[in-house]
Amino acid sequence: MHNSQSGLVDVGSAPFVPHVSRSDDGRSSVSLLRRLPAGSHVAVWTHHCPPRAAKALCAWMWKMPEQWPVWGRIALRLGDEVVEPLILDGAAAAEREDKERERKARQEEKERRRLEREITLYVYDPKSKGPSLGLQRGCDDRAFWRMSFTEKWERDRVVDWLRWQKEEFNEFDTFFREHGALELERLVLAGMRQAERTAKEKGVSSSGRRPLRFWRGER
Amino acid sequence: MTDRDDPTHGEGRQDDVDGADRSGVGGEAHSQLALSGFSPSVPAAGGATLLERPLPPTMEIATGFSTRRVPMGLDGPFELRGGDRLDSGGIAFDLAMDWQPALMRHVVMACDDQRVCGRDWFFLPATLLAGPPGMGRTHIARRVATAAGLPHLVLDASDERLARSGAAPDVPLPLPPLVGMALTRCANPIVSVENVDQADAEVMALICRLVDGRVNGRIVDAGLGAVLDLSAVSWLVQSTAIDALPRTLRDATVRVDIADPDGQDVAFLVIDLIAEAVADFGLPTPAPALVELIVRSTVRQHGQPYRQTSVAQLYSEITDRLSRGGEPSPF
Repeated sequence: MHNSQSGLVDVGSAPFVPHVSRSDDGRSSVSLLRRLPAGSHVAVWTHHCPPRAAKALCAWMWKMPEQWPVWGRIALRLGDEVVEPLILDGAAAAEREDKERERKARQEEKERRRLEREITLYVYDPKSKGPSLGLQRGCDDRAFWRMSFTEKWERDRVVDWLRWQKEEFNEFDTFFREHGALELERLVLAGMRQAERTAKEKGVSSSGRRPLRFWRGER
Repeated sequence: MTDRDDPTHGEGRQDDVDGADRSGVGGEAHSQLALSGFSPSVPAAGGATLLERPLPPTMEIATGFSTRRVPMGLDGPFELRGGDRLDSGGIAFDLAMDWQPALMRHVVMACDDQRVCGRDWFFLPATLLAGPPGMGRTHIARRVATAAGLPHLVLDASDERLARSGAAPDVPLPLPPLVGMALTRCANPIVSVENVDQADAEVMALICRLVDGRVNGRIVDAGLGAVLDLSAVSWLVQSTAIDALPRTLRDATVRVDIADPDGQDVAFLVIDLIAEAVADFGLPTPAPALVELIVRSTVRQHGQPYRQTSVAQLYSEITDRLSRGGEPSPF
Protein backbone atom coordinates (compact mmCIF):
# COMPACT_ATOMS: atom_id res chain seq x y z
CA MET A 1 0.00 0.00 0.00
CA HIS A 2 1.32 3.40 -0.90
CA ASN A 3 0.54 6.63 0.83
CA SER A 4 0.13 10.01 -0.78
CA GLN A 5 3.88 10.49 -0.79
CA SER A 6 4.22 7.27 -2.79
CA GLY A 7 6.16 5.68 0.01
CA LEU A 8 5.44 2.18 1.20
CA VAL A 9 3.45 2.29 4.39
CA ASP A 10 2.60 -0.45 6.81
CA VAL A 11 -1.06 0.07 7.58
CA GLY A 12 -1.19 -2.94 9.88
CA SER A 13 -4.63 -4.39 10.24
CA ALA A 14 -6.47 -1.10 9.68
CA PRO A 15 -9.82 -2.04 8.15
CA PHE A 16 -9.99 1.21 6.18
CA VAL A 17 -7.17 2.94 4.29
CA PRO A 18 -7.13 6.15 2.19
CA HIS A 19 -5.73 5.77 -1.27
CA VAL A 20 -5.10 8.09 -4.21
CA SER A 21 -5.07 6.95 -7.80
CA ARG A 22 -4.67 8.70 -11.14
CA SER A 23 -6.71 7.95 -14.22
CA ASP A 24 -5.72 8.28 -17.86
CA ASP A 25 -7.68 11.50 -18.34
CA GLY A 26 -5.34 13.31 -15.91
CA ARG A 27 -7.87 13.41 -13.10
CA SER A 28 -7.18 11.82 -9.76
CA SER A 29 -9.43 10.12 -7.29
CA VAL A 30 -9.13 9.75 -3.55
CA SER A 31 -10.75 6.66 -2.10
CA LEU A 32 -11.34 5.16 1.29
CA LEU A 33 -10.65 1.47 0.83
CA ARG A 34 -11.99 -1.27 3.03
CA ARG A 35 -9.90 -4.36 3.51
CA LEU A 36 -11.67 -7.61 2.70
CA PRO A 37 -10.84 -10.86 4.50
CA ALA A 38 -9.39 -12.25 1.26
CA GLY A 39 -6.74 -9.50 1.32
CA SER A 40 -8.28 -7.43 -1.45
CA HIS A 41 -9.78 -3.98 -0.98
CA VAL A 42 -13.04 -2.36 -1.98
CA ALA A 43 -13.70 1.40 -2.13
CA VAL A 44 -16.43 2.56 0.24
CA TRP A 45 -16.02 6.22 -0.76
CA THR A 46 -14.42 7.89 -3.78
CA HIS A 47 -13.91 11.54 -4.65
CA HIS A 48 -12.65 12.76 -8.03
CA CYS A 49 -10.57 15.95 -8.19
CA PRO A 50 -7.47 17.44 -9.83
CA PRO A 51 -4.19 15.66 -9.00
CA ARG A 52 -2.79 18.35 -6.69
CA ALA A 53 -6.00 18.56 -4.66
CA ALA A 54 -6.18 14.76 -4.49
CA LYS A 55 -2.64 14.56 -3.19
CA ALA A 56 -3.32 17.21 -0.54
CA LEU A 57 -6.59 15.57 0.48
CA CYS A 58 -5.04 12.12 0.79
CA ALA A 59 -2.08 13.53 2.71
CA TRP A 60 -4.49 15.07 5.19
CA MET A 61 -6.42 11.81 5.50
CA TRP A 62 -3.20 9.96 6.19
CA LYS A 63 -2.57 12.25 9.15
CA MET A 64 -5.81 11.08 10.76
CA PRO A 65 -5.74 7.28 11.00
CA GLU A 66 -8.07 7.33 13.99
CA GLN A 67 -10.78 8.77 11.74
CA TRP A 68 -10.54 6.13 8.98
CA PRO A 69 -12.85 3.60 10.65
CA VAL A 70 -15.33 6.35 11.58
CA TRP A 71 -15.46 7.67 8.01
CA GLY A 72 -15.66 4.13 6.70
CA ARG A 73 -18.52 3.30 9.02
CA ILE A 74 -20.43 6.43 8.05
CA ALA A 75 -19.82 5.71 4.35
CA LEU A 76 -21.14 2.18 4.76
CA ARG A 77 -24.16 3.09 6.84
CA LEU A 78 -25.17 6.59 5.71
CA GLY A 79 -23.56 6.90 2.29
CA ASP A 80 -21.50 9.44 0.36
CA GLU A 81 -23.99 12.19 1.08
CA VAL A 82 -22.88 12.27 4.72
CA VAL A 83 -19.28 11.16 4.61
CA GLU A 84 -18.15 13.34 1.69
CA PRO A 85 -18.86 16.69 3.37
CA LEU A 86 -17.33 15.38 6.59
CA ILE A 87 -14.07 14.56 4.86
CA LEU A 88 -13.94 17.50 2.44
CA ASP A 89 -15.01 20.08 5.03
CA GLY A 90 -12.56 18.60 7.51
CA ALA A 91 -9.76 18.81 4.96
CA ALA A 92 -10.70 22.40 4.04
CA ALA A 93 -10.83 23.41 7.70
CA ALA A 94 -7.46 21.75 8.29
CA GLU A 95 -6.02 23.61 5.31
CA ARG A 96 -7.34 26.91 6.67
CA GLU A 97 -5.90 26.07 10.08
CA ASP A 98 -2.55 25.14 8.51
CA LYS A 99 -2.42 28.44 6.62
CA GLU A 100 -3.35 30.37 9.76
CA ARG A 101 -0.74 28.44 11.75
CA GLU A 102 1.90 29.16 9.09
CA ARG A 103 0.96 32.85 9.09
CA LYS A 104 1.24 32.98 12.87
CA ALA A 105 4.54 31.11 12.77
CA ARG A 106 5.90 33.56 10.21
CA GLN A 107 4.72 36.46 12.33
CA GLU A 108 6.21 34.98 15.46
CA GLU A 109 9.50 34.33 13.68
CA LYS A 110 9.54 37.92 12.45
CA GLU A 111 8.83 39.21 15.93
CA ARG A 112 11.47 36.91 17.39
CA ARG A 113 14.05 38.27 14.97
CA ARG A 114 13.05 41.82 15.82
CA LEU A 115 13.34 41.14 19.53
CA GLU A 116 16.63 39.38 18.99
CA ARG A 117 17.99 42.65 17.62
CA GLU A 118 16.55 44.58 20.55
CA ILE A 119 19.30 44.36 23.15
CA THR A 120 18.95 46.00 26.57
CA LEU A 121 21.57 46.81 29.17
CA TYR A 122 20.70 45.70 32.69
CA VAL A 123 22.45 46.27 35.98
CA TYR A 124 22.18 43.72 38.76
CA ASP A 125 22.63 44.14 42.47
CA PRO A 126 22.06 40.71 43.98
CA LYS A 127 22.07 40.59 47.77
CA SER A 128 24.67 37.92 48.34
CA LYS A 129 26.77 38.35 45.21
CA GLY A 130 28.84 41.11 43.68
CA PRO A 131 27.29 43.72 41.38
CA SER A 132 27.16 43.03 37.66
CA LEU A 133 25.84 44.27 34.36
CA GLY A 134 24.47 42.34 31.45
CA LEU A 135 23.17 42.53 27.90
CA GLN A 136 19.89 40.75 27.22
CA ARG A 137 18.15 40.05 23.90
CA GLY A 138 14.42 40.87 23.71
CA CYS A 139 13.57 37.31 22.79
CA ASP A 140 15.35 35.82 25.82
CA ASP A 141 14.50 35.83 29.49
CA ARG A 142 18.09 36.08 30.72
CA ALA A 143 21.24 38.00 29.79
CA PHE A 144 23.39 36.44 27.12
CA TRP A 145 26.49 38.23 28.46
CA ARG A 146 27.20 39.23 32.01
CA MET A 147 30.12 41.14 33.53
CA SER A 148 30.70 40.91 37.28
CA PHE A 149 32.56 43.33 39.58
CA THR A 150 33.78 43.43 43.15
CA GLU A 151 32.57 46.96 43.86
CA LYS A 152 29.50 48.75 42.75
CA TRP A 153 31.41 51.84 41.62
CA GLU A 154 33.44 49.64 39.23
CA ARG A 155 30.28 48.41 37.58
CA ASP A 156 28.87 51.97 37.40
CA ARG A 157 32.07 53.22 35.80
CA VAL A 158 31.55 50.74 32.93
CA VAL A 159 27.84 51.52 32.76
CA ASP A 160 28.65 55.25 32.40
CA TRP A 161 30.24 54.39 29.08
CA LEU A 162 28.16 51.38 28.03
CA ARG A 163 24.77 53.10 28.42
CA TRP A 164 25.70 55.37 25.47
CA GLN A 165 26.66 52.47 23.19
CA LYS A 166 23.14 51.21 22.36
CA GLU A 167 23.78 51.40 18.65
CA GLU A 168 26.75 49.10 19.11
CA PHE A 169 24.90 46.43 21.12
CA ASN A 170 24.16 44.29 18.08
CA GLU A 171 27.82 44.41 17.12
CA PHE A 172 28.69 43.42 20.68
CA ASP A 173 26.30 40.49 20.29
CA THR A 174 28.00 39.39 17.09
CA PHE A 175 31.42 39.82 18.70
CA PHE A 176 30.23 37.78 21.70
CA ARG A 177 29.04 34.95 19.43
CA GLU A 178 32.36 34.93 17.61
CA HIS A 179 34.87 35.45 20.41
CA GLY A 180 33.14 34.73 23.70
CA ALA A 181 32.43 36.58 26.94
CA LEU A 182 36.00 37.38 28.03
CA GLU A 183 36.97 38.99 24.74
CA LEU A 184 33.81 41.08 24.85
CA GLU A 185 34.71 42.24 28.36
CA ARG A 186 38.14 43.30 27.06
CA LEU A 187 36.55 45.10 24.15
CA VAL A 188 34.15 46.96 26.44
CA LEU A 189 36.88 47.94 28.88
CA ALA A 190 39.13 49.09 26.03
CA GLY A 191 36.32 51.21 24.62
CA MET A 192 35.60 52.67 28.04
CA ARG A 193 39.25 53.60 28.64
CA GLN A 194 39.56 55.13 25.20
CA ALA A 195 36.44 57.23 25.85
CA GLU A 196 37.81 58.28 29.27
CA ARG A 197 41.11 59.42 27.70
CA THR A 198 39.32 61.33 24.98
CA ALA A 199 37.01 62.99 27.53
CA LYS A 200 39.98 63.95 29.67
CA GLU A 201 41.71 65.47 26.67
CA LYS A 202 38.56 67.43 25.86
CA GLY A 203 38.17 68.39 29.49
CA VAL A 204 34.69 66.98 29.86
CA SER A 205 35.54 64.21 32.29
CA SER A 206 34.67 64.22 35.95
CA SER A 207 37.03 63.75 38.81
CA GLY A 208 36.88 60.74 41.07
CA ARG A 209 36.30 57.08 40.26
CA ARG A 210 33.77 57.61 37.46
CA PRO A 211 35.28 59.92 34.84
CA LEU A 212 32.34 59.47 32.46
CA ARG A 213 29.69 60.08 35.09
CA PHE A 214 28.42 63.21 33.36
CA TRP A 215 29.51 62.20 29.90
CA ARG A 216 26.71 62.11 27.35
CA GLY A 217 28.31 60.00 24.67
CA GLU A 218 30.15 62.79 22.91
CA ARG A 219 32.60 61.52 20.30
CA MET B 1 -21.05 -23.07 24.36
CA THR B 2 -19.64 -20.13 22.58
CA ASP B 3 -18.76 -21.49 19.19
CA ARG B 4 -19.11 -24.46 16.94
CA ASP B 5 -16.26 -26.33 18.53
CA ASP B 6 -18.79 -27.46 21.04
CA PRO B 7 -19.60 -31.14 20.52
CA THR B 8 -23.32 -30.50 20.58
CA HIS B 9 -22.88 -28.03 17.83
CA GLY B 10 -21.12 -30.47 15.58
CA GLU B 11 -24.01 -32.79 16.07
CA GLY B 12 -26.38 -30.02 15.14
CA ARG B 13 -24.54 -29.37 11.91
CA GLN B 14 -24.70 -33.01 10.93
CA ASP B 15 -28.41 -32.93 11.57
CA ASP B 16 -28.65 -29.92 9.38
CA VAL B 17 -27.04 -31.65 6.45
CA ASP B 18 -29.08 -34.75 7.00
CA GLY B 19 -32.10 -32.63 7.58
CA ALA B 20 -32.35 -32.01 3.88
CA ASP B 21 -34.08 -35.36 3.62
CA ARG B 22 -36.69 -34.62 6.23
CA SER B 23 -37.20 -30.93 5.98
CA GLY B 24 -38.26 -30.45 2.46
CA VAL B 25 -34.92 -28.98 1.56
CA GLY B 26 -33.64 -31.85 -0.53
CA GLY B 27 -34.31 -35.57 -0.94
CA GLU B 28 -37.84 -36.37 -2.04
CA ALA B 29 -38.78 -32.80 -1.51
CA HIS B 30 -36.31 -31.59 -4.11
CA SER B 31 -39.19 -30.76 -6.37
CA GLN B 32 -40.36 -28.26 -3.78
CA LEU B 33 -37.05 -26.46 -3.94
CA ALA B 34 -36.00 -24.73 -7.09
CA LEU B 35 -32.30 -25.13 -6.36
CA SER B 36 -31.06 -21.91 -7.88
CA GLY B 37 -30.70 -21.47 -11.62
CA PHE B 38 -31.30 -18.43 -13.75
CA SER B 39 -34.67 -17.07 -14.63
CA PRO B 40 -35.79 -17.63 -18.22
CA SER B 41 -33.78 -15.70 -20.74
CA VAL B 42 -35.46 -12.55 -21.92
CA PRO B 43 -35.01 -11.55 -25.55
CA ALA B 44 -33.50 -8.08 -25.82
CA ALA B 45 -34.60 -5.46 -28.31
CA GLY B 46 -31.76 -6.23 -30.73
CA GLY B 47 -32.49 -9.92 -30.74
CA ALA B 48 -29.78 -10.75 -28.19
CA THR B 49 -30.72 -12.39 -24.94
CA LEU B 50 -30.08 -10.81 -21.55
CA LEU B 51 -29.47 -12.88 -18.48
CA GLU B 52 -31.36 -11.60 -15.48
CA ARG B 53 -30.20 -11.97 -11.90
CA PRO B 54 -30.55 -15.53 -10.70
CA LEU B 55 -33.80 -16.10 -8.87
CA PRO B 56 -33.46 -17.15 -5.24
CA PRO B 57 -34.26 -20.77 -4.49
CA THR B 58 -37.65 -21.50 -3.01
CA MET B 59 -39.23 -24.04 -0.69
CA GLU B 60 -42.65 -24.81 0.70
CA ILE B 61 -42.99 -24.17 4.40
CA ALA B 62 -46.37 -25.88 4.88
CA THR B 63 -47.94 -29.10 3.69
CA GLY B 64 -51.68 -29.45 4.27
CA PHE B 65 -53.24 -32.46 5.99
CA SER B 66 -55.73 -32.71 3.14
CA THR B 67 -56.14 -31.45 -0.40
CA ARG B 68 -57.54 -28.22 0.98
CA ARG B 69 -55.15 -25.30 0.44
CA VAL B 70 -53.31 -24.06 3.50
CA PRO B 71 -54.46 -20.53 4.48
CA MET B 72 -52.38 -17.47 3.53
CA GLY B 73 -50.86 -19.39 0.64
CA LEU B 74 -48.43 -21.03 3.05
CA ASP B 75 -48.25 -24.11 0.84
CA GLY B 76 -46.92 -22.03 -2.04
CA PRO B 77 -43.27 -21.38 -2.83
CA PHE B 78 -41.35 -19.25 -0.35
CA GLU B 79 -38.07 -17.64 -1.25
CA LEU B 80 -34.82 -18.57 0.46
CA ARG B 81 -32.94 -15.28 0.44
CA GLY B 82 -29.48 -13.99 1.19
CA GLY B 83 -27.60 -16.44 -1.02
CA ASP B 84 -26.04 -13.63 -3.02
CA ARG B 85 -24.34 -12.28 0.12
CA LEU B 86 -22.59 -15.32 1.52
CA ASP B 87 -19.11 -14.41 0.29
CA SER B 88 -16.50 -12.42 2.20
CA GLY B 89 -17.77 -9.10 0.86
CA GLY B 90 -21.34 -9.86 1.82
CA ILE B 91 -23.13 -10.31 5.10
CA ALA B 92 -20.15 -10.31 7.46
CA PHE B 93 -18.65 -7.37 5.54
CA ASP B 94 -21.86 -5.40 5.92
CA LEU B 95 -22.41 -6.43 9.54
CA ALA B 96 -18.94 -5.29 10.66
CA MET B 97 -19.69 -5.49 14.38
CA ASP B 98 -16.08 -6.04 15.35
CA TRP B 99 -16.86 -5.48 19.01
CA GLN B 100 -18.94 -8.68 18.93
CA PRO B 101 -16.23 -11.17 17.95
CA ALA B 102 -18.25 -14.25 18.92
CA LEU B 103 -21.19 -13.12 16.83
CA MET B 104 -19.00 -12.21 13.85
CA ARG B 105 -17.29 -15.60 14.00
CA HIS B 106 -20.69 -17.30 14.20
CA VAL B 107 -22.00 -15.40 11.17
CA VAL B 108 -18.85 -15.91 9.09
CA MET B 109 -18.87 -19.65 9.81
CA ALA B 110 -22.58 -19.88 9.02
CA CYS B 111 -22.00 -18.19 5.64
CA ASP B 112 -19.01 -20.46 4.93
CA ASP B 113 -21.04 -23.56 5.82
CA GLN B 114 -23.90 -22.54 3.54
CA ARG B 115 -21.54 -21.77 0.68
CA VAL B 116 -19.54 -24.96 1.04
CA CYS B 117 -22.71 -27.06 1.21
CA GLY B 118 -24.09 -25.36 -1.89
CA ARG B 119 -27.08 -23.99 0.02
CA ASP B 120 -27.69 -20.76 -1.74
CA TRP B 121 -29.38 -18.87 1.08
CA PHE B 122 -28.53 -17.42 4.47
CA PHE B 123 -29.07 -19.58 7.50
CA LEU B 124 -27.79 -19.02 11.00
CA PRO B 125 -27.97 -22.08 13.25
CA ALA B 126 -30.29 -21.45 16.20
CA THR B 127 -28.46 -19.03 18.45
CA LEU B 128 -28.67 -18.18 22.11
CA LEU B 129 -27.73 -14.51 22.48
CA ALA B 130 -26.47 -14.31 26.04
CA GLY B 131 -26.14 -11.11 28.00
CA PRO B 132 -27.99 -8.78 30.33
CA PRO B 133 -30.92 -6.72 29.04
CA GLY B 134 -30.07 -3.54 27.18
CA MET B 135 -27.04 -4.86 25.37
CA GLY B 136 -28.72 -4.52 21.99
CA ARG B 137 -29.67 -8.09 21.17
CA THR B 138 -32.69 -7.08 19.10
CA HIS B 139 -30.51 -4.44 17.43
CA ILE B 140 -28.04 -7.19 16.56
CA ALA B 141 -30.81 -9.38 15.15
CA ARG B 142 -32.07 -6.49 13.03
CA ARG B 143 -28.55 -5.72 11.82
CA VAL B 144 -28.01 -9.35 10.82
CA ALA B 145 -31.35 -9.33 8.99
CA THR B 146 -30.50 -6.08 7.20
CA ALA B 147 -27.07 -7.37 6.21
CA ALA B 148 -28.56 -10.61 4.89
CA GLY B 149 -31.47 -8.88 3.15
CA LEU B 150 -33.98 -10.81 5.21
CA PRO B 151 -37.10 -9.82 7.13
CA HIS B 152 -36.84 -9.66 10.90
CA LEU B 153 -39.69 -11.02 13.02
CA VAL B 154 -40.25 -11.06 16.76
CA LEU B 155 -41.70 -13.88 18.80
CA ASP B 156 -42.58 -12.85 22.34
CA ALA B 157 -42.17 -15.96 24.50
CA SER B 158 -43.81 -14.29 27.48
CA ASP B 159 -47.16 -14.48 25.63
CA GLU B 160 -48.74 -17.58 27.12
CA ARG B 161 -51.38 -17.69 24.35
CA LEU B 162 -48.68 -19.00 22.01
CA ALA B 163 -49.15 -22.56 23.20
CA ARG B 164 -52.94 -22.52 23.64
CA SER B 165 -54.90 -24.97 21.57
CA GLY B 166 -57.60 -22.41 20.77
CA ALA B 167 -60.73 -24.44 21.41
CA ALA B 168 -63.98 -23.03 20.00
CA PRO B 169 -65.18 -20.35 20.06
CA ASP B 170 -61.55 -19.15 20.12
CA VAL B 171 -59.94 -19.23 16.73
CA PRO B 172 -56.59 -21.03 16.71
CA LEU B 173 -54.10 -18.64 15.20
CA PRO B 174 -50.94 -19.58 13.36
CA LEU B 175 -47.60 -19.08 15.08
CA PRO B 176 -46.51 -15.41 15.00
CA PRO B 177 -43.60 -15.88 12.58
CA LEU B 178 -45.92 -17.43 10.00
CA VAL B 179 -47.88 -14.24 9.45
CA GLY B 180 -44.66 -12.32 8.80
CA MET B 181 -43.36 -15.10 6.58
CA ALA B 182 -46.61 -15.13 4.61
CA LEU B 183 -46.48 -11.36 4.17
CA THR B 184 -42.87 -11.37 2.98
CA ARG B 185 -43.00 -14.77 1.20
CA CYS B 186 -39.65 -15.50 2.79
CA ALA B 187 -38.87 -18.97 4.16
CA ASN B 188 -35.73 -17.99 6.04
CA PRO B 189 -36.40 -14.86 8.09
CA ILE B 190 -34.48 -13.89 11.21
CA VAL B 191 -36.72 -14.44 14.23
CA SER B 192 -35.88 -12.86 17.57
CA VAL B 193 -37.31 -14.92 20.42
CA GLU B 194 -37.69 -12.42 23.24
CA ASN B 195 -38.48 -12.88 26.93
CA VAL B 196 -37.73 -16.58 26.84
CA ASP B 197 -36.79 -16.32 30.51
CA GLN B 198 -40.42 -15.52 31.31
CA ALA B 199 -41.92 -18.31 29.18
CA ASP B 200 -44.18 -20.85 30.89
CA ALA B 201 -43.56 -24.56 30.50
CA GLU B 202 -45.82 -25.03 27.48
CA VAL B 203 -44.41 -22.08 25.58
CA MET B 204 -40.89 -23.19 26.47
CA ALA B 205 -41.61 -26.64 25.03
CA LEU B 206 -42.91 -24.99 21.85
CA ILE B 207 -39.81 -22.78 21.62
CA CYS B 208 -37.60 -25.84 22.04
CA ARG B 209 -39.36 -27.55 19.13
CA LEU B 210 -39.19 -24.44 16.95
CA VAL B 211 -35.46 -23.90 17.33
CA ASP B 212 -34.37 -27.54 17.34
CA GLY B 213 -33.03 -28.33 13.88
CA ARG B 214 -33.85 -32.00 14.34
CA VAL B 215 -37.61 -31.45 14.63
CA ASN B 216 -38.46 -27.97 13.34
CA GLY B 217 -38.89 -29.34 9.82
CA ARG B 218 -42.17 -30.98 10.86
CA ILE B 219 -44.10 -28.80 13.28
CA VAL B 220 -47.77 -29.69 13.35
CA ASP B 221 -50.10 -26.69 13.35
CA ALA B 222 -53.60 -28.02 13.97
CA GLY B 223 -55.17 -24.61 13.44
CA LEU B 224 -53.76 -24.33 9.95
CA GLY B 225 -54.27 -28.01 9.30
CA ALA B 226 -50.71 -28.35 8.07
CA VAL B 227 -47.25 -29.57 8.87
CA LEU B 228 -44.80 -26.66 8.95
CA ASP B 229 -41.21 -26.70 7.85
CA LEU B 230 -39.41 -23.93 9.76
CA SER B 231 -35.96 -25.43 9.36
CA ALA B 232 -34.70 -22.55 7.24
CA VAL B 233 -35.60 -19.92 9.85
CA SER B 234 -32.68 -18.36 11.76
CA TRP B 235 -33.74 -18.29 15.41
CA LEU B 236 -32.05 -15.83 17.74
CA VAL B 237 -33.12 -16.59 21.29
CA GLN B 238 -32.45 -13.82 23.81
CA SER B 239 -31.77 -14.83 27.37
CA THR B 240 -30.33 -13.26 30.46
CA ALA B 241 -30.34 -16.48 32.54
CA ILE B 242 -28.86 -19.16 30.33
CA ASP B 243 -28.36 -21.65 33.14
CA ALA B 244 -32.06 -21.55 34.01
CA LEU B 245 -33.11 -22.56 30.50
CA PRO B 246 -34.07 -26.18 29.77
CA ARG B 247 -31.17 -28.32 28.64
CA THR B 248 -32.98 -29.18 25.40
CA LEU B 249 -33.01 -25.52 24.44
CA ARG B 250 -29.36 -25.01 25.38
CA ASP B 251 -28.36 -28.12 23.43
CA ALA B 252 -30.32 -27.04 20.37
CA THR B 253 -28.65 -23.64 20.18
CA VAL B 254 -25.21 -22.15 19.78
CA ARG B 255 -24.42 -19.77 22.61
CA VAL B 256 -23.05 -16.40 21.57
CA ASP B 257 -22.04 -14.03 24.35
CA ILE B 258 -22.82 -10.42 23.59
CA ALA B 259 -20.04 -8.00 24.47
CA ASP B 260 -20.18 -4.35 25.42
CA PRO B 261 -18.72 -1.96 22.87
CA ASP B 262 -15.68 -0.15 24.18
CA GLY B 263 -13.76 2.97 23.18
CA GLN B 264 -14.20 3.84 19.52
CA ASP B 265 -16.66 0.96 19.07
CA VAL B 266 -19.26 3.05 20.93
CA ALA B 267 -19.02 5.57 18.07
CA PHE B 268 -19.53 2.77 15.54
CA LEU B 269 -22.61 1.55 17.42
CA VAL B 270 -23.99 5.10 17.46
CA ILE B 271 -23.44 5.41 13.69
CA ASP B 272 -25.28 2.10 13.22
CA LEU B 273 -28.15 3.34 15.39
CA ILE B 274 -28.36 6.60 13.42
CA ALA B 275 -28.62 4.62 10.17
CA GLU B 276 -31.20 2.32 11.74
CA ALA B 277 -33.32 5.22 12.97
CA VAL B 278 -33.15 6.97 9.59
CA ALA B 279 -34.31 3.78 7.84
CA ASP B 280 -36.97 2.90 10.44
CA PHE B 281 -38.68 6.27 10.47
CA GLY B 282 -38.00 7.33 6.89
CA LEU B 283 -36.11 10.37 8.15
CA PRO B 284 -34.18 12.51 5.69
CA THR B 285 -30.46 11.82 5.51
CA PRO B 286 -29.03 13.76 8.46
CA ALA B 287 -26.61 16.60 7.87
CA PRO B 288 -22.97 15.55 8.34
CA ALA B 289 -22.55 18.07 11.16
CA LEU B 290 -25.56 16.58 12.94
CA VAL B 291 -24.14 13.06 12.64
CA GLU B 292 -20.83 14.28 14.03
CA LEU B 293 -22.59 16.11 16.86
CA ILE B 294 -24.69 13.11 17.85
CA VAL B 295 -21.72 10.75 17.72
CA ARG B 296 -19.49 13.04 19.77
CA SER B 297 -22.09 13.98 22.35
CA THR B 298 -23.34 10.41 22.76
CA VAL B 299 -19.85 9.00 23.12
CA ARG B 300 -19.02 11.75 25.63
CA GLN B 301 -22.25 11.19 27.54
CA HIS B 302 -22.36 7.40 27.45
CA GLY B 303 -18.83 6.47 26.52
CA GLN B 304 -17.20 5.19 29.69
CA PRO B 305 -18.68 3.14 31.15
CA TYR B 306 -21.02 2.57 28.25
CA ARG B 307 -23.40 0.28 30.15
CA GLN B 308 -25.09 3.22 31.88
CA THR B 309 -27.61 3.29 29.03
CA SER B 310 -29.34 0.47 27.20
CA VAL B 311 -29.12 0.30 23.43
CA ALA B 312 -32.89 0.77 23.25
CA GLN B 313 -32.60 4.02 25.24
CA LEU B 314 -29.72 5.13 23.07
CA TYR B 315 -31.74 4.40 19.95
CA SER B 316 -34.67 6.34 21.38
CA GLU B 317 -32.47 9.35 22.21
CA ILE B 318 -30.87 9.31 18.76
CA THR B 319 -34.23 9.04 17.02
CA ASP B 320 -35.49 11.93 19.10
CA ARG B 321 -32.50 14.12 18.19
CA LEU B 322 -32.65 13.22 14.52
CA SER B 323 -36.34 14.03 14.29
CA ARG B 324 -35.77 17.42 15.97
CA GLY B 325 -32.75 18.27 13.83
CA GLY B 326 -30.19 17.74 16.57
CA GLU B 327 -31.75 19.89 19.27
CA PRO B 328 -31.47 18.09 22.62
CA SER B 329 -34.70 17.23 24.35
CA PRO B 330 -35.90 19.94 26.72
CA PHE B 331 -36.98 17.23 29.14
